[in-house]
Parts: sequence; C-alpha cells; structure tokens
Amino acid sequence: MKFWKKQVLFTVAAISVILGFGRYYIVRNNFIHSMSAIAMQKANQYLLEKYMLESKVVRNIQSGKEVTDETLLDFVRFPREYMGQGSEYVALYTEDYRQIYSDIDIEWLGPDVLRDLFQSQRERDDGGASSDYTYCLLRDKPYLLFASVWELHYRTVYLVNAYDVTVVFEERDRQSRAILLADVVILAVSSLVISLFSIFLTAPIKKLNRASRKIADGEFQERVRIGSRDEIGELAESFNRMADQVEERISDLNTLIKQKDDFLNGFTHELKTPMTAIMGYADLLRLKNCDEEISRKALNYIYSDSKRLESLAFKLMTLMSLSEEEMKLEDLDVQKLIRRVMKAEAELLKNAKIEAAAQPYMVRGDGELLESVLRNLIENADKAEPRDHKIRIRGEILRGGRYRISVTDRGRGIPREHLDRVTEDFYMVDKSRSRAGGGSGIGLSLVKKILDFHGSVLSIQSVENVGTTVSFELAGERIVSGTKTRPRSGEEPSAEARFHSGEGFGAEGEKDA
Amino acid sequence: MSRILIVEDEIAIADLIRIELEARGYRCEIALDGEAGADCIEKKQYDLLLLDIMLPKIDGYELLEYNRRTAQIPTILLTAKSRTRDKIEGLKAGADDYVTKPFEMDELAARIEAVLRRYHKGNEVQKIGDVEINVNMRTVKKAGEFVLLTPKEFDLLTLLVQNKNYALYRETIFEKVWGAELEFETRTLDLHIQRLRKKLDWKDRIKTVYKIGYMLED
Repeated sequence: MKFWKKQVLFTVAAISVILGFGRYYIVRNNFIHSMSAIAMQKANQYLLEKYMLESKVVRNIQSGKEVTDETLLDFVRFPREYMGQGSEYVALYTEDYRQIYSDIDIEWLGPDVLRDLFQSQRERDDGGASSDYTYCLLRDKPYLLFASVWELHYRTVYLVNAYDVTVVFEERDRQSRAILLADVVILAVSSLVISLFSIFLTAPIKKLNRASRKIADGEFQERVRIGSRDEIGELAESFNRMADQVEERISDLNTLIKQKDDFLNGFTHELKTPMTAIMGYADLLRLKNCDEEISRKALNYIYSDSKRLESLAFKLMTLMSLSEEEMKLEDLDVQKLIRRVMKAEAELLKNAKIEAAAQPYMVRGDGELLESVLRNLIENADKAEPRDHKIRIRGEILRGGRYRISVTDRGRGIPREHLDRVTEDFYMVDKSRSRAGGGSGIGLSLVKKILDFHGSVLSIQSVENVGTTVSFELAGERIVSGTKTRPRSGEEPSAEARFHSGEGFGAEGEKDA
Repeated sequence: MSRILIVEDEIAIADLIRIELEARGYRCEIALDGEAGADCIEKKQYDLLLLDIMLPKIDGYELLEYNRRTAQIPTILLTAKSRTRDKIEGLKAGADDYVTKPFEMDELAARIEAVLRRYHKGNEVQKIGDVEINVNMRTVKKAGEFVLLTPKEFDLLTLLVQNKNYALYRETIFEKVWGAELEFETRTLDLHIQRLRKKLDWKDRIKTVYKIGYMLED
C-alpha cells in the first residue's frame, strides 16, 4: 500500500510545485504586460494634460492676461473639474522642491524620491518631452506617479500627476486566485487518477508478493499469472522460471532423501535380522549344554547368517567405493575376462554347467567391477535352479561397435510384476529362498550401479518357469593384431580374426580345462 | 500352559524363539508367512501372538488388524524397524508391546510374561515337585509353606527352572544372575546353590554336572 501512496504523493507534489511556478510566471507576465500597457496609456494621458495646461498658459499670455502662481493653480484645478477623468491627483513643485500646490499626500514620499525623479528629468536630452514615472501607494492604493519639467515664461515648475492603477493589481490578484483554484482542481483530479493508476500498476507487485510468500511457506508449485509485456511482466516470467527451478530441486532433493532413507532402512533390516539369530543362538549355546540336534541346528544358523553378513558387507563396501573412487577404465580382452569368471564360479557352484560362446573383442571397462557383475549374474542364474543346471554366457559384437554380453538360464524366471523392481536395493522376489541362499537382495542393485558407471544398461528378459536372460552392452573395439581399429559395419573380418570369431569354449563343474 | 503363535519369516529366528520358549514351559507354533499366520489364528486358539511386521503375502500390520477384529489375541510385535514412529504406529495399531531386533531372549521372555500377566493368562505359578513358584509375587512355597529366598536366590532358582533338564554352564549362570564375570567370585555361585538345595530340600534335584555346571531335574 505504501508504494502507490508514495507514487501519488511524489507525483502530486511535483505537479503542484510545477503548477506553482507556472502560476507565478503567468501571473507575473500578465501583470508586467498589463502594467506596461497602462503605463503607456497613462503616460499619454499625462502628456495630453500637460499640453492642455501649456496651451492654456500660452492663450492667456497671447490674450495679454497675466500668468501667476494663482492662475496656474486655477488652470491646474480646472480641467480636472470638467474633464472628470484623468489624473486623480496633481501637484506642482518649484525648482527647489517647494510645494506650490498638491492634493496628494506626497510629503511622506520624501524629497529624495522626487529629487531623483526630477533629476532624471533634467538630464534628459529631449527637454522634458518624455516623462518618467514611478509607483507609490497613496492611501493604500497603488498609483502611477508621473513628473516632468514645465518651462513657464516666468519660472520652471515640476508637474506631478498620479494615476490610479488599482485595477491592474486587482486584475493580477483575481487572475492569481483563478489559476490557484484551477490548480487545486487539477491536483485533486490528478491525485485521484494517479492513485487509481498507481494501484492498478502495483497490483501485479502484490501478486508477486503473495506468490513469493506462498512458495516460502512450502507451496512450491505456486506460480504467478501476469499478462503484461512490460518490465513487471518480465519479472513475473523470471520469477516463474525461478520457482520452476526451486520446485525441481526440492523434488530432486526429496527423492534423494527418500532413496537414502529407503536404502538405510533396508540395510539395517538386512543387518539386524541375521544378527538377532547369531546372537540368540550363541547365547543359547553358552548357557546350556544342549543335545546334539539343537546344537547342530544352532551352529548351522550361526554360520549361515554370518556368511550372509559377510556377503552383505562385501557388496556394501563395493557400493561405497563405487561412488568415491574413480573407476579404472582399461581395454580388456573380453574372452579372458569371461574365462576367468567361469573358472572362479565353477569352483563355487558345484552343480552348475557353465558354457560360453564369445566373439573376441577388446571391451572398455574396469576389470574387477565387470568380473563382479558377471559373477553376480552367474550366481543369480544358478539360484534360479535351472533344471538342466546349464548357464550360458554369450558375447557378441553389435553393429556400431558395441559388445553385448548375456547370461541365460532355464530356471524359474522372474514374475512380471517384479521385473521392474529387481534392481532396487534389498529387493527380493522370494525372501525366504533368497536368504536361505545367503542373499540379501543387494546383488542386482550393485550390478546396475556398476553398469551405470560404464554407461551401460542392464536388460532383463524373463518368463516364469521358462527362463531368464540378462544382458548388457559395453563399448569396445576389434582386436586387429597389434593395431586396434574400430570395426565398420559390413567389413569382412581379416584372416586372423576369422580364426577366432564364433569359436566357443566351455567349462563344466569341476572338470575345468 | 500358555500357547504361543510365532509368525516370523526368518526360520532361524522363529526356531530360536521356539526353543527358548518351550524350555520356559510354553507351547509354541510357527507360521512362516502372513497367510499361514492368518490361517492359524482362524482355526486354533492361542494365548499370545508374536508377530513380525515384514512378512510375505500378508504383512504384519494387516495381520494385526485381522487379529484385532477377530480372535483378539494379545500381541507382541517383533521387528527390525526401530524408529520411534514405527513403534508408535505399531502400538497404535493395537499391539500390546513392541520388541526390536536384535533382542535378548531374556528380554523377550520377560515381556511375554508381562503381557500374559496383564491378561491373566500367564504361567503365574510354576510347580516342580512340591515346590510352587509364583513368578508375579516372587514367592516360593515348599509343601504349602512359604520359603524365604533372597533376591539372588530367587533369580537363580528362576533361571534353573526356565532351563530345567538342561545342564547350564557356570560362567553363563553367573553372568545372567549377577551380571558380572565369574573370574574372582567362584564361591558365590556355589554358596547360593548350596543354600537353595538346603532351603528347598533339593539336594537331589539340583545336580552338579561335571565340567559344566548345574542342572535342575524335573
């Protein structure tokens, strides 16, 4: 509210000052102009009167009559009596400023004023033809005072006439009042108009303010609708864009927080559960001397849950190190990599028959992490309990230079409703079976994270009770004896490469090559 | 004898609880998922329900609600979720108590007793031979007459009774009753055993087990 008031206040103040100056100059100008005109008119009138007096004196002398001071006085008084108008007051002074006649209370004007007047007259070149004037106040009314030298045959006198010019002043005051009134009306109306306009202009600012406050209170979806294309409209648009950013960031943060929360919850659960069993059974065993059956059961539980904790700890450490350190990307011989993994898993999974057919290629990635991925996928395939115990690994070169590795089993598969969620932290399709197998649901989420770092996506195809294929792609290049070049699609493999390509190799259970 | 239903999907933990509670004289049954749990509640009678929250098929809260609407068996929730608001949620949903994992078996047993006591379904009085032990009042009667036992003697007796017919290791007995390690106080335990034998005339019941410790025979 205060801003628009400020606007109105300052504008109106400025206008009134300007109007004030305007009024002053207009009135003053008019006054000066009027006064000049009146002065000129009165000057003429004075001269006329003087001329008439002079004529009279001359006629008298011509007709032989004598002219004395008395006759002069008669002449001076007479015209006024019958002319009526003209000067209101007249005075005659001798050369040494003695008053001969005056019907003006001129004494108080002071001899200096008159002396200056008469002095300036004497100094004139035109010998008194023109006249000087001044203003004075007689009985509180303004008068123009004319004075000039009158050369009579017997003496020199000064003729002083005073003319009433109240009219001019009255006109001036009237004008001033009229303009003032006009100014007041102008100010009043413009205050109103400016107020309205101001309020109208600042309404968007209020809108912005309200929206800001709402957002500050947490309603991040609030936006401002201001249609104008002026600076305020631009501000509104910038504001909205800023709010978009804020909302997005906050939503991202919330998602992140939730993710961390969920992860922590899952983690603590997967940690606490085996701990409960381990602690409980250990406590039991150290208290009482149990029979063989219970003792064995207790010890088995303690062992298997400890392994579970170990596997969990290891995977978590890998997860944590993933985000902190940088991966070591190098060029890896994919066949060697797969062979290494197969050997290790064959030791571990006694019943499994792992086969592989992989085209030779150099893939780009972190060797240890990729091994971890493959081992995880193979172990998952084994846990799916394929009836033929077979786990197939395939490696194929794709058009465009990438290399796809897939792991297939004919096991129990993943039900469709779980497919999207299997890579979530701690997610298990069948909890009891997973846990019995030493799992905690973290394997695939780890795999996904490793593949994310490699710029790769995990792709899972599965049909319940039929089988599952899990695959991912890596960047790489063809091995060309010594020099490495990127393969171009349709290019015939060189003689050496043909020897290797398509050849399969396998490993079975304990009978390792 | 009170019947307890254990609904817990981790078989290791379910087994552990069953072993311990059966030793303490309760009869236990196990259900490994929410659905099996609901079946048991529907078809049979129980004095207490031990319920895990994270269950497959039907989750703990749903089962709790089901129980509240039908059988209304006193329930203790068992779970790894230990945040205050999980506890509040659980208790508000109708549970009588809430135990977080990992827990000590003794604590769980004590809470079970407390809940059963509240509903007057507890094993208030345990009888062995002509000795009656009132767990609530912490009194012991021999052949109808009150026997005065010191607090430690009573706790020792309780431990022996809860684990009757099992040979108990000396160090652990001492730790459980006196809360300290046995090393320098070898005489204390033996003296207490002697006094118990004397006061209850149980020289034949409380047996010394060579190289292990003591056992109460019933």
